[in-house]
Amino acid sequence: MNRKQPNIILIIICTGLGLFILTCSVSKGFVRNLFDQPTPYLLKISIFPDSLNIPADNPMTVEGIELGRYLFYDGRLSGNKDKKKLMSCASCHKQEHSFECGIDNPLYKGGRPHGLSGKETPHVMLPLINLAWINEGYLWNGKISNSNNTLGDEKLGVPAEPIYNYKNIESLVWMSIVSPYEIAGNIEKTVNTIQNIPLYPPMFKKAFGSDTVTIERIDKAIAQFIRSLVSCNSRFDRFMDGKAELTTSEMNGLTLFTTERGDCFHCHGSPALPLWTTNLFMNNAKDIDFNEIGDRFSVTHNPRDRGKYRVPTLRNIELTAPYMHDGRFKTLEEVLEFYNSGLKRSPYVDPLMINMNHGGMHLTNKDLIDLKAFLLTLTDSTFITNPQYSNPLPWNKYFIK
Amino acid sequence: MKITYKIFNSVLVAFIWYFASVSPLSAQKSEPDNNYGDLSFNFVHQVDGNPILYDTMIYTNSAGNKYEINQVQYFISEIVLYSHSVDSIMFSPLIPWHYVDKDYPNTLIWSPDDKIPAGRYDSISFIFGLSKNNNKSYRFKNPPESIMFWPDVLGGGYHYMKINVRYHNNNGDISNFNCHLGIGQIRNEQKKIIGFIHNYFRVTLPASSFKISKGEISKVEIIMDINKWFGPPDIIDFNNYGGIMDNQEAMRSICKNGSSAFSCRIIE
Repeated sequence: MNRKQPNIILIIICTGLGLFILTCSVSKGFVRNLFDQPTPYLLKISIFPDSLNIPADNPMTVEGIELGRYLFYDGRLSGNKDKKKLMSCASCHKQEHSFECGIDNPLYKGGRPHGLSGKETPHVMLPLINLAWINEGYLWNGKISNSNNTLGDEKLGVPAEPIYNYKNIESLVWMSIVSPYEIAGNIEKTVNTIQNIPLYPPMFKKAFGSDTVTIERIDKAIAQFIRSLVSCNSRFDRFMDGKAELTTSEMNGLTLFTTERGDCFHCHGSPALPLWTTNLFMNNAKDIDFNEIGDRFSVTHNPRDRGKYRVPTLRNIELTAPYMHDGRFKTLEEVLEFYNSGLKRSPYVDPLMINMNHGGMHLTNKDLIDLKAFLLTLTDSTFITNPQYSNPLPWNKYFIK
Repeated sequence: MKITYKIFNSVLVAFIWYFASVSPLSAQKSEPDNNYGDLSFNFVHQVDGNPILYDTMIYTNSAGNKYEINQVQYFISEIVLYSHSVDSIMFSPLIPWHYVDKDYPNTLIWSPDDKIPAGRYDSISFIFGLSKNNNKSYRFKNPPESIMFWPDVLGGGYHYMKINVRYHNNNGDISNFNCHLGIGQIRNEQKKIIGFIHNYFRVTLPASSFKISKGEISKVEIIMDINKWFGPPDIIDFNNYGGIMDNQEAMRSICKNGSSAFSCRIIE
């Protein structure tokens, strides 16, 4: 036996081991890899854009998403165990309403949520769907964005430290804990409460390599779960795949939507823009005076941005009443009637709103019915029943039903 | 066994040599720069020779409409550099289109890595919009290009251009006009769409002779005068329109005007 032969065997073993490690690291699913690292979670939807808004320091992992899902539904996120003081993201963000609260929610009259203190939120909700594809800023006015360098909140006692930034979905978590409109709580209390629930330290260990609970890790886990909420299987999606039919009425609605008769498509997309929103900020001719302090102007300080708000996605629009940033319209019929005959002229209206020139679309009643019929094809019934997004412990008294 | 080991080592060395010498990385390093230069296009938008003051109601078109310019977005494609001394060539042949958006400064420069043979070029031409071969629905998945989609029912593909303006209408009220160009429609007497017209057109830039010098970067400014889209020769009165996407007659007039909307400045 030549003494150099073991080197060949070593090369073969190393190559095999390398391939095995490579296979483990690229595989998606629930198999953890060799070094007990969290399992990468690949978020890719073929019809959606490639440009995802996932911070480099918070890559999505199977374990991170699972932890985030538990925290999303656990009322002890409020830092309390008293039944009356339980609150979590799921208190308002209901899966059956595309993660809005719903106009029929018995706790929130008219679909206007409020926090533990009873204070109503300044705006109605936006759905928590497909948020990983928003690169233009979050919330109705885009305040939460990578270009925002604000830190902390002096009034609420949150120090100006890098973890308390306003840059991404992660920021919305700590903001919700201290916001007087939501939990109105205390970050330290929340962290301590979660740390002392035996369920969580092992989950933090799996997701982040340490069983120590921090606000940063809570933010990251919930943000990962929210990014995993993907809605892309409406009847219209299946129609585009050749797996479903549309009625004559729905087809006419699509035509109205994607021509200048309805002129919805410039802002709300089309099959070629399948998020069904441009995610831009626009003034859609609702008002003449603009005194609301939370509009796009409050972020950019550009006078031209008065009365501008995010163009919301139309996916699951059937489930997300009330409509507009202030919830002024209770039904889709009211919304369509506004666009048909209620547009108000002002120098702030987006120039794309050409129907402003004549006060609206001026469609017939039948056309409005068809337009609504088309909008209903954007409802994703599999999304609102997907068990991956649902309450993981519905029998647990602390978890929000 | 010793022989086997030697053979293995030889194969390994050959393998490494192959990758070191033939891989794209090494090819890039060893590519000679002889007789080639670079060319970059800058996109500039003006009215009557002056830079545009956006969102400011100071412009007047040939119909006498007072207006402001809010958005300017368009594709140009298939730039051809003509020469009698070296071969005429297509600029950036692999990705022959470019999206320009006044709100995205990075789109105001088109500077691909392609090397251009040194020499004197006589003129430059380009397609305004996207030619039939390149104007395919669902080609662009990412914004901002994807937001330029042109609905399938109107012919599909992408807007060639969106110029959005506010103007004072005949009553003195603020109104909106969208100068959107793309595929036009042919309709029958019942107004039903029976065919489509590709409205893209080729623009030859006047006085566009330029030189590419070995190892140097040449720059060409493509200047668009927004006001010229609205006439003459065809006078576009904004009061007669809102949008024009399903108005082939209006699109044809605007394309006719657009041929003279471009000029250039050579920065060699």
